[in-house]
Amino acid sequence: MTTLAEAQTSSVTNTKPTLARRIMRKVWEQRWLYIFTIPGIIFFLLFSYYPMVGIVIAFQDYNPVKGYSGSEFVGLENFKTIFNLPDFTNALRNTVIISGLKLLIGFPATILFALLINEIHQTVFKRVVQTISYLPYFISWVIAAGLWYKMLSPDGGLINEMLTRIGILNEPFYFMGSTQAFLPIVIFTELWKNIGFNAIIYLAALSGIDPHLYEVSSIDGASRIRQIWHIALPGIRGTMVLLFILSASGLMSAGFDQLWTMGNLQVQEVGQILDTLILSYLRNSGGFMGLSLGATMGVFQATVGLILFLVCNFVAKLIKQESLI
Amino acid sequence: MRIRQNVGILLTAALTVGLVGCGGNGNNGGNTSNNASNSANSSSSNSSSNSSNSSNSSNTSSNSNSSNTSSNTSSGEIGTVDNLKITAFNWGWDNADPAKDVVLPELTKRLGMKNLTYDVIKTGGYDDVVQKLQLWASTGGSDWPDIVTTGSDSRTKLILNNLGETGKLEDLTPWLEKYPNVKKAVEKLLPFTSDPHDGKIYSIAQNFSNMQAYAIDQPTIWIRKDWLDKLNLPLPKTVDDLYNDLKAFKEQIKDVNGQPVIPYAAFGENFRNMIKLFFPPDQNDGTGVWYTDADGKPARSDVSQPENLIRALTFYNKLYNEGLIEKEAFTLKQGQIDEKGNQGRYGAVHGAYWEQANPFTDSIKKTDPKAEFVGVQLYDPSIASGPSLPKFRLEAWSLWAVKAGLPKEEVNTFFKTLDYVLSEEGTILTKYGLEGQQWERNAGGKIVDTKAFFDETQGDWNKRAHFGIDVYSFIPNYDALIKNQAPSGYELRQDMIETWQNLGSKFPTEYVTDPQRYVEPGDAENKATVGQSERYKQMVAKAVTAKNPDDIKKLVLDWGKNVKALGYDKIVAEREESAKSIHLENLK
Repeated sequence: MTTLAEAQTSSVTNTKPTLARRIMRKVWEQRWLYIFTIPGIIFFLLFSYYPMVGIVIAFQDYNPVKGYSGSEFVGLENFKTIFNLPDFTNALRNTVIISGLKLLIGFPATILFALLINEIHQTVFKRVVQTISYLPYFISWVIAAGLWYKMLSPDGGLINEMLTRIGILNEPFYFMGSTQAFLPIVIFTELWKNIGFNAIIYLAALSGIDPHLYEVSSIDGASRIRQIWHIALPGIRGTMVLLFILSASGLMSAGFDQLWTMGNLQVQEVGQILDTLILSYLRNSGGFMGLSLGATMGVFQATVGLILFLVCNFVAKLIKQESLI
Repeated sequence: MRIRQNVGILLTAALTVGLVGCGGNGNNGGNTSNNASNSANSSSSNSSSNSSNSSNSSNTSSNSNSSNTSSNTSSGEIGTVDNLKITAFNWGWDNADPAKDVVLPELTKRLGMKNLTYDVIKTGGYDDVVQKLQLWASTGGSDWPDIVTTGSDSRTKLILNNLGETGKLEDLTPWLEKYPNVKKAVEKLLPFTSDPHDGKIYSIAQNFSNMQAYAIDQPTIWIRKDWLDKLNLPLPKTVDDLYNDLKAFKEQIKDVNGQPVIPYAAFGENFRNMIKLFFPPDQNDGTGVWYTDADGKPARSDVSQPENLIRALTFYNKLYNEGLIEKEAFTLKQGQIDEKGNQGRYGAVHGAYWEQANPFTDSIKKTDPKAEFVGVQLYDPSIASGPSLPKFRLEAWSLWAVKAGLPKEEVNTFFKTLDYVLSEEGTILTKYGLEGQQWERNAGGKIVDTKAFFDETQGDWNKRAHFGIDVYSFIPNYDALIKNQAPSGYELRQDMIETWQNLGSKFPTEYVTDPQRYVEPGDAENKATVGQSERYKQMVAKAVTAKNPDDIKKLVLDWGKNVKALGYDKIVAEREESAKSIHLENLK
């Protein structure tokens, strides 16, 4: 027999807690995790979200003396000015080509490099290769560009000396002044500088694959290539998708540091990208218009980047059920 | 577990506090700025409403100097303060070394002050200076220093005039009336430093050109005279002579290693060239120089005189294709050009009269005692019958600006300082240091370095700056300098004596009186010329390195068409209008 008091208690305990209560309970249970996120949240609020207010400059004829509130609102006029810059189309094309090539060549090259390193079983050799390959990452582009300029110089440069001595060239070639040679140099130096460091993420992913899978497959008679194809690559698929989405969303940034330091007047036709265009054009511009136009270019690049990110994310989700968001 | 948790909490708290601290500082700064800004605004509105007599504003802003004790405050006369802070920029040279500085303590003493602070802000380059000014301006003027010396480019002038028009900078007109010596020193430049909208003077020249004191920067080519002597060739006079000399260098001269030399270094990151020689004098200097044409209209020679530009670029193209010019002409940094120059690999280089070639000569002499670069000025025989001495453009290189709302005693002290530095005594102190220590008089009564001082500094400007020499020259008194200064060791060098002979005259004799040379770019020009100087350089690089010289004509004509399509006519109209307010009567 159930007493009235028991029935009342049972009805209370059976009542589902409200959504708010459930959320609060969950938050309380995971309070330490939430507390740990606070510095990160503050960091992003302060240094990423708060500065976004500055986007308003892109829609103003900004005058620092008058400030945000006093400067004249000009709508999309600054975007019109940017798109009508005589070299905008060329710089946009170069940006897409250079970024695209870096992605097309650099993305698989990094994976290939990581797979190759992963196949090295001699620890000392493996470490030497890894160290040598990621050291250039720590050299700034200013120094790296200087090194390559010196090595490729037609006036006593190491590479020209070598090529002329072994008879490949009759006379020194001015690599850095050649529009044909410039793009391959950009892609090669980008790989030289970043491939080792970028491969670290893939190596970490590869090291997470269960070694038993390799053992079992080798018992089944799988070759090394088969093991890479059927075990290693599927094992790092998630990482590949993640990095591809991130790289693709950066299509509008072709590498300012590299192109600013390696570019020169003779190769601007193929080496001028949106970032270098806006800096070189606006550095010496009169009045305050450089501030507005610089912000406008930033907004344009960020918007395109966001769209690309969302598209890649959607496609990845559609095809492989893998995505970032 | 508990310990780990506590450590976690502490770490999180520390990070959070740190971040909030960062943000908090910014916010507090912002609040302070706003308060200060309000105070500045209110004070400036007081002063601006007080017609032009802003110097009578009795507003005391919250700056540190306002707490200084005033002296000499008898009725009708403005007193002074005994602490003054002046802010300046430095983007690449040495500052005074407080341990060695003899000038600042002496200047402070002679001015009867307790403390004269010269606050120098070091920046990486001049662009950073303008950025800093923009940042200060964007705080509503609250971060703007009380008394500051800035550059004088068009962006800086715009910032100063904007700040002045919004009441954040002092109108210096009444102060110039009170200090006639200062006014006399900067008077000729006032038409170029006063605000074009309200006519007030928010900045005055700090350092400026002077026709009698500064040898003019002629388009000088420095050439290896020892090589010409070796080949029995005279110094070149025309661009065609230069071509023949460079050809002879290429074919007949070898460097110390027996390798062919590089006949001529041009362009480089500073884009040094002789293109202007192919145009009438004062009508071409890249893309920035406008002149008044025969019809009285503003014109720019790269657009209005395509035939001259084609001739210039064709000349350079010939040099490039015949291997007479540095192959890496458009990629070399100045440091790399200097390296090759010091190694004695160049036959001819560009340079202003005060630089480059003499250090090359000194360097090469270590291995080749006969080596000598001398400067020559060339002309293009198809448009001129001889070299012409450029006219003199009066310009301010730097400016003074004073924040509005400062105590009048502080502004008065600043002008008193300028007034003293302008005196012969003040000029000698700030330019040469102390008598007996840094300088003495030679038999002719002129000032020369003492032996001990010369031994220590070797005439090096940076080393002299450690002693405060030429650091506190707040405003130049050229008459005093010309009267007292002995020729420097540099001017007595044999190669310089010969160079001056070749150049014909050291000092210009006429002012530029074409108003277009003094017009500041307006809105239409700023908009239409975005990136134009960069594109001009690209066009020149393409033309000079073109395999087919016929391409040059197309490149130049296309250039002119594109410039016109971007609003050239609008700029002409704007400049015509602006020229009406340029008054050059005092230069004629």
